Amino acid sequence: MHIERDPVLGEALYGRRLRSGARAYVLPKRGFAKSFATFSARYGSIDRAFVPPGASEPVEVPDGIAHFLEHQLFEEEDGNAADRFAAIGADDNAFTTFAQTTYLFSASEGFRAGVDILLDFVQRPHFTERGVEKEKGIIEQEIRMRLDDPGTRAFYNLTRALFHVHPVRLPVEGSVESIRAITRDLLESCYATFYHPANMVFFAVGDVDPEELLAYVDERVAPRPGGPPSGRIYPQEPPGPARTWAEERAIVARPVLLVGIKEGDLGAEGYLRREVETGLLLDLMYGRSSPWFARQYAEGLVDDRFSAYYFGGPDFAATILGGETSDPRELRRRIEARFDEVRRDGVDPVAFERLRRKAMGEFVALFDAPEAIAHAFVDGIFKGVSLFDLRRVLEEVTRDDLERRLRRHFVPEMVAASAILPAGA
Amino acid sequence: MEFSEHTLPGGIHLRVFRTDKFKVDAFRLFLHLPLGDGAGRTALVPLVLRRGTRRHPESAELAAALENLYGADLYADAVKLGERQLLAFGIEVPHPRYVGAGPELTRAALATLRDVVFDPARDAGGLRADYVAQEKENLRHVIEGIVNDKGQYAMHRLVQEMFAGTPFATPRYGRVEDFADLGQAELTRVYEDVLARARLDLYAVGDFVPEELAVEAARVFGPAAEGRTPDDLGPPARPGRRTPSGRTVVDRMAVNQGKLAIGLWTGIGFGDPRFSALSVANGILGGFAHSKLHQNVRERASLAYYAYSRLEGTQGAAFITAGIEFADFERALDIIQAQVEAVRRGDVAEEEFDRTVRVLRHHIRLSEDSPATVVLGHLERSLYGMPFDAASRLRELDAVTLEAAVEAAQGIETDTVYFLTRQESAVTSPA
Repeated sequence: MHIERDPVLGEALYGRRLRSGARAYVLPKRGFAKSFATFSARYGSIDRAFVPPGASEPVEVPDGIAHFLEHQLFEEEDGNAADRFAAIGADDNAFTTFAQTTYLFSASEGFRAGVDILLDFVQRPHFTERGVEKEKGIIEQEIRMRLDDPGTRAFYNLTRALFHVHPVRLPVEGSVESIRAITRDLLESCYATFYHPANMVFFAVGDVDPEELLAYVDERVAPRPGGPPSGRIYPQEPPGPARTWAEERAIVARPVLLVGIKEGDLGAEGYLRREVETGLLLDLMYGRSSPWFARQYAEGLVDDRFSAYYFGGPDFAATILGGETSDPRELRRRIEARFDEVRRDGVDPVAFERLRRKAMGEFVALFDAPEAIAHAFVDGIFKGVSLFDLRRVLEEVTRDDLERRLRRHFVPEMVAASAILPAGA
Repeated sequence: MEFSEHTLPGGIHLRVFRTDKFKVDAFRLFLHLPLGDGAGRTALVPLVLRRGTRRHPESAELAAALENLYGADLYADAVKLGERQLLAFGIEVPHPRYVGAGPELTRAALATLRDVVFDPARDAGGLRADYVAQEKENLRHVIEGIVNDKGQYAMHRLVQEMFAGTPFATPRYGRVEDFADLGQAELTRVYEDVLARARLDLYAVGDFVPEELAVEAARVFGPAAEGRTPDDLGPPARPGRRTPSGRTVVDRMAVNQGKLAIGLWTGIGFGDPRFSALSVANGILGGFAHSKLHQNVRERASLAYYAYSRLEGTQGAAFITAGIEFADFERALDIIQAQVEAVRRGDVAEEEFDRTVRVLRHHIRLSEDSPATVVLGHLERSLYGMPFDAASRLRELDAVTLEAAVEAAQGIETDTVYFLTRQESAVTSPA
């Protein structure tokens, strides 16, 4: 067993590799009514071409199949796993991203029973032709719902502009057309490839005994022949964006703009390092205390919902920033003009310390919400990031690091933007 | 969680929830106003106050000061609670022990909250003219932007139709006309009037010694709040029986999915002894994934990604929402009405009842896991004379039988059916 501690927070993370090859972690949390557990596969929408175990030729599967599989895994021979969770008064859910699929539940009594259900249904697929056909109608409505959401459209138009061939350019849910091609056999093949225990991670946070729970989980994740997926095929992505501008009209009251800065070279630095440095730079350049933000706000180019963050996975990453605006082209111009301005002025030492302090406060705040802890953990684990690493990186980072990062990442050649304009305007 | 109440100078009610389970201390401040015409003017107040204080008049300076308080999170907003509009302010700041700071961190956060509410940035004419002008624009964008989220827009339109002519029809942020011609001097008068006359509740959730915090809060807020004479809004209105209008309202827009929103009367509101039983009935009908709506509209008929119901306890009302294919309007409506009828008829399996009670128990318990739900739970429930602590709420829930839940559902009647559909859809409004 491996134990990581953060003495200032008074938190500890217990972890071990199970005999099945899966990894399991527990963060004990006293005083909360709720316990929370997740079971995740390193399998997302970008895993659309691969060599299944035992096969020699690669296959290409319909877009949206990882998400479809997530829906279908709840189906059981004699009912639905969601009903079993409800029977013990637990809340269950699941989500699929570009690079992972996570199943989760929270309970305030009968947590062990919930762990049983979680581990059981994820390891016991029951795909039927009827189930697959039924799911198509439901997911079609999920896709249509997202088509009506301007923020989602702006985001997917942006990834399509940023990336030439990498599948992160396609929506996680696929399209109404692509999901129609999904069959039971394809689901079986994806499951056999990506739901091997060695490709999975269990995490729990709550008022539990970590050693006992880890031993309990170990007994319930069955070893399987084979190993983690070895034949994932990602196309070779050129460094720059595919297009620099995308726009579309929709029913919105005002234009929406998202600007993306593509990570051309993922480099030797770890994901967390890039994320922390970029986050501090975004606060410095575009944050609420920056002169830039004050000016754009006063002119109506940004409002209080303007946001900026770093996003990425195993082999893709980008900075994304934007929001509603009065003038998408002008806002894009001013976002880019800021690159040179900050390069010229350098990273102000007072602002740097202040923003580092803010980031430290946000790190502390994360530990107040069990679901936020779980999401942060799961998001990090497949990128090689552990929960308490953030404190260390925040303490280590220097102004020189930020200036180097500024020169490397904030370059106009890597920028693409996506605008949603009011229909009829 | 240990609860205590304190009365401070200036008619401030302080409520303290003492707990050491959170690493961030939370403070909330609410000003109570009647909801109605002019809500847009009062909604503007928190947005302008949020921009700067006398000590930090520029927004960027105030933001930098918050960053120095370890990223203290400040917010100022307007929320709707029944026939009231609450101007809601808050600050959340890490507990000093987790960031290597001393008690001055908490004091500075509390003082910042006080400055935002009582000591805003001003110019010669009152609240800063540039902030007033910018926030009028921003509030207009927020109000007009409701159309961006089609599900939210459908709910908004349903409430407009179903509650037409009553205070509850007033949206949270009021209407653009409320403030279109409002000037700096007038908004300053609105602000001063609110400060002098609105009931003020202050909440603290965190690891405090309550008596010490009360002394500190009196020191911080006392001088600013002195001499206030808050209006008594009286107890909130209890919803009476209303006659269903039986109307169907159809709006058309270039959308990809139809949004169905149904408004129903339940006849049972907050504070009614049958409210817990009604909550169980709603859970059986459509509160959760195991509920009748999700099971029948989504899992059996494959018509929707979501289909839920929820109660509006301040109005004795319930809302059902689903996102569906345009052509499925009548079919979805039939299935939904059949589920409502099934609950009223008592066509409910023991298993459905058990699951609902268990999941509701879970939700009551986890309401103590976040400062926001602790505070809003107390605010809402104490206003309507209901017990707010988890133990009492669990006792109330455990006393509900399946028969009582079915009995509570007898008053449910559909009032308005709203459908947002695409332009060329063939649905016609019978009304």
